[in-house]
Amino acid sequence: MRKEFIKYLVSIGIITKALRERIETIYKFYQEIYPDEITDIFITDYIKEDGSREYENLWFFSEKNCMEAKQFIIKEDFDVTPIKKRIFYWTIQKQNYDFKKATEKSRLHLRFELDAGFNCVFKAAKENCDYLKIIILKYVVPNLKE
Amino acid sequence: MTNKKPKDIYEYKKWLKEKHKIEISGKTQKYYESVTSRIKLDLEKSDFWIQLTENLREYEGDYLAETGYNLLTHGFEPELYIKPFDSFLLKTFRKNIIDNKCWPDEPKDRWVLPNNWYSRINDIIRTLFEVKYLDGIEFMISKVKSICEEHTMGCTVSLKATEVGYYAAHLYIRKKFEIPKVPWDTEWIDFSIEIQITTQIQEVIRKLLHKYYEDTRKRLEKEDIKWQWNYKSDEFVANYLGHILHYVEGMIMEIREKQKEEII
Repeated sequence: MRKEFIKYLVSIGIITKALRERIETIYKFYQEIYPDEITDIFITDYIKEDGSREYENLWFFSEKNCMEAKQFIIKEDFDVTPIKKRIFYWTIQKQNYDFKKATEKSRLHLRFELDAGFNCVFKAAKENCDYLKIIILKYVVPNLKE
Repeated sequence: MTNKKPKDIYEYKKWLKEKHKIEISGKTQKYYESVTSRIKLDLEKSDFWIQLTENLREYEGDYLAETGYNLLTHGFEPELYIKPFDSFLLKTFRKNIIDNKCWPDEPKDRWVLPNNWYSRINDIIRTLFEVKYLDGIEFMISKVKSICEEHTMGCTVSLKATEVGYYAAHLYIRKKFEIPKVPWDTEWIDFSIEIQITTQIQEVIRKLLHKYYEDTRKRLEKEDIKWQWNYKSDEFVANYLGHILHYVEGMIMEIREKQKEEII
């Protein structure tokens, strides 16, 4: 897996070998189908009442597609959808986030709809908000349908 | 439209939008999947579930020692199933519309809507224990109830014996779960887990008739002739087969008990 992906995983608290290997396996699966295409990674997360972090869905991005592994810790449920100039609506909800630098209290929620009728939902907590911001600027905004 | 009774799931979705401003879309389904997967995962890690699954071998031994017969038909690793979103929505359709005797007003126990539906639909997550003999059902009920008491969890038992020949025990276990909210953070909800206990024979029949039951549930209008008189209908064969097999299972128990008395 690319070094920057590993750096990202560590930054959002994914440090256990088992979880990293799980992500690596899914990455290899998608790479097998879309060789040399994957350019970014994102994991949706939220914070529980006791302060612990829960990871939900794993996403990979390429210039043309976004690839999801739903509930990646427990499931083998994958789907891919083309995004290039196919997003016709997006909505963001944010809390304690200035869209510059995330804090411990920052929360970000993104949903976009594709012309095929698919909904893509992302949530991020703490420093993960900064990574979701990158995804928004790199893959969502430029792919709005004209 | 709002007072016209929806006839199918498409009309129901339209009614939800017009009457309750609730839109059922891909995002509703995504959220449902996120919530139910989380609950399943937390349930699998819970002391209750771990103890129940670990004890199955012990129960098998207890029953064998008591009766001389095996208790369970399958192994000792029961699966937890999540109700697919479409079936879940169909169930809310039945509760709000088909079975609502107060229509067009809300049912006596209120509308089932997104703000309460995870607590109101009691079989979103379910498991099944298949026993060999009829008395295995009562045996398993007492074991599950005992674990629930240990963990101070509510447990309601419903012995199903329906007109259409369905026989099984349904146990509803209440437990609190922390689920993700739509934008962020979490909330605690009261949630029911359904444990079905049935016999091997009844399960064979249930699987065979599953499609038939699904179609019946979607139907709003009832047949003109009672199924008991329509011997050419699928219902006649299917439903009476359920009743006959239950009777046969009762007879098997009687023979088993007689044999036991003779040996003593």
